Amino acid sequence: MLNFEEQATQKLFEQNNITEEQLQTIREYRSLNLFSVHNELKFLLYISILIFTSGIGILIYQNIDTIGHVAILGLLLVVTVVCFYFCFKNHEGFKKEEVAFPNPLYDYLVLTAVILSCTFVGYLQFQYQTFGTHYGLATLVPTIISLFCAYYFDNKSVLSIGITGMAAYLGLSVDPKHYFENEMFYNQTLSYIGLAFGLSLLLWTLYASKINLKKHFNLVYLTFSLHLIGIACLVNLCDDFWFPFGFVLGGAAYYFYHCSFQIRSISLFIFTVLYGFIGMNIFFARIMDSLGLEDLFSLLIFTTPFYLVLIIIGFIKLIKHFNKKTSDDSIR
Amino acid sequence: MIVYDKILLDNTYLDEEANRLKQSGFISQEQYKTFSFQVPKLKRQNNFFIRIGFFVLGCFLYSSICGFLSLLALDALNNQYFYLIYFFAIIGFVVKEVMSHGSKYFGFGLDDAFILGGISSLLVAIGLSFEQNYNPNYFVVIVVMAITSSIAYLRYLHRYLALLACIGITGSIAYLIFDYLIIGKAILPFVLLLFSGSGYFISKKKLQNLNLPYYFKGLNVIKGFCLVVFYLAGNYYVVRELNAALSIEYYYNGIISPEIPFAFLFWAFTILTPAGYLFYALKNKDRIMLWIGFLALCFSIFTFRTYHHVLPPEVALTIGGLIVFAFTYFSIKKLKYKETGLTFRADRFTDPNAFANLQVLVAASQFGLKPEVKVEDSPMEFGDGGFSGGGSSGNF
Repeated sequence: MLNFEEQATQKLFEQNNITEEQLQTIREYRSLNLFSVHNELKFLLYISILIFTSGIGILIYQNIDTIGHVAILGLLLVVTVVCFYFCFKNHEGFKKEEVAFPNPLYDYLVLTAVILSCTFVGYLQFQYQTFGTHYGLATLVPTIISLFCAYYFDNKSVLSIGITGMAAYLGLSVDPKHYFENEMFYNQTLSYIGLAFGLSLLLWTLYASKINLKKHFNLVYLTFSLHLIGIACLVNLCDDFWFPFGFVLGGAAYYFYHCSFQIRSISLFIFTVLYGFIGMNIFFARIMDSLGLEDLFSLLIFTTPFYLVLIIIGFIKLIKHFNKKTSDDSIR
Repeated sequence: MIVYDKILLDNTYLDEEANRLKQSGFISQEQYKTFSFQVPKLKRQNNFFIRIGFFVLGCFLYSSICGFLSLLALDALNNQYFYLIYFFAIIGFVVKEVMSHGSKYFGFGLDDAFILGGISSLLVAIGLSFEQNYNPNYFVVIVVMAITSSIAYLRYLHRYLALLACIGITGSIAYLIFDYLIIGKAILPFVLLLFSGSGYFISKKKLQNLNLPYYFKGLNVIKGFCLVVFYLAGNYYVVRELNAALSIEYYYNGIISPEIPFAFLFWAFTILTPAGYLFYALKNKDRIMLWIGFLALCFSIFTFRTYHHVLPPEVALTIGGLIVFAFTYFSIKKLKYKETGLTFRADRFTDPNAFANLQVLVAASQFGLKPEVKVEDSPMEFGDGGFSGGGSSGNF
């Protein structure tokens, strides 16, 4: 690969697109012949933590009767406290901006500690009913721990666990697995709660960017919010009481469309357009249905190729617009 | 052979390089922009997700065109309907040709949909025409797949076409040996080993002698594919289970796959190949090989655990996690301050946070908290409820 890249750099230089100085630095850097396993090792760390915590979880679940409860709880507590100890020792403390650990290892240590403390609280509740019948509390405590750690140690993975915890407190499952299996909302009430939760996440983002609190978390919040609002609106559009949700979705899509320009997030942009597009189609189909224009449907089948061509042109235009607005080619 | 305009194609590759330099901070944003605006290039969609989006739209468009034509023509040709599918294939190829030649599309998503749609409808049509007594002739289909996708790759330079061509060629060879040779079943793994091994060395040689960048990425795909096939052809699990699955007795009454001859040889291969891959990958600085070696290692562990139950899974998971953690920890410590060669320092040319978003996603799906009590499906809204549920209301 290097060979052709060097050729291309040379050509860029010959066409006067880069200066000689730049060519020199690039050549020097490439002659170091780096083979960085940075990503690979980080990935391995992550996998090791996933494996370890899953293994511990299953171990506890299976041996819940044989080993003494106190022994398990004690062991869990010790490991968690050790993890937290190292994290606190090596972190410079809370800041409003993005702060990274000196070593990426600690990011994963925070994640382990949080997951283990969730396991700990869950076990405590299961065995000793510490929170009695206040089941919400058993969810709320891990949520608060993860949110605190997310903000203190600046960790997005932990933040996403915290958000799922908040949703769980409200009775929602918002993790990707449920999302893809279309099991996010069991009934109408839950979909209203989901919509409200999505909107409140949105409000929190607005407030957080106003007071400059961890602005780089906004993408995570907005992603959760977009999917919650989008799915809730789509679910309701297919239900009996559908009419206002078309407008809610339209408004949300409009807002997120502008938002994606501001934070330059292509995934937000794509999903906004997708939800908007699907919602629009359902909305018009339902309007036609309720007006009793069923006979028009057979005519519509013949126009689908042209409709699709129009849609494609529209999408190309949209993406060009996005490219221009973000003023560099962040779409890569 | 290449359909694209040579100058535009060269410019596209130059633009890619310039963008890489911009990403790694060697040239400024403005410098890249002035370059990018002044040079004409092919229309290409570099973002993977947008490309997939356009691919899906292209599939809709292609199938709606095909559906439209079927509506018009299906009455006229009632029994010979597969001519229509040949016609669909021609539509796919022609549209892709026009898009690439005239409108200068090179991997925009839309054109991908048409070439893939064209190839798959051609395969369906071939399968239908060579069908005898409802027995499809898979051999012809896979040979046609190998030929068309090879030609399409040489003409359009898409990597997935190279992959399709590889699958087609390997499939036809395997089919040929298995079906038309009496001892075919016994020698199949060895033939595939030989084939993929030689494929690897040929593509490596070709890569070294290449002086134009067009086929570079495709050859890398072929190289990786050969490595994967080489490993799988000698893997104990694959050989044993395939051997059993392909034999007739097992098909009717087998439950446990029988032991294979030369088992020791295959076990040795299963263990040694990943180690060899990892070693050579680190030695030759080959990232694709490193990843394949890592995956092969995982598959070898899986193979071993399928036939030898050493530890219960949860203990194995916990201990394995600890071992991997320790290994990574010490490697990071060792490689942290190295300035050249193999190092933990982030390369300027690769994104150090490539997996960041993926990790957030996995954390949310794996460890996301779930609601403790599911809300009842239909909370009762009407009536006093005093007698419902077969009990009294519970009030005194």
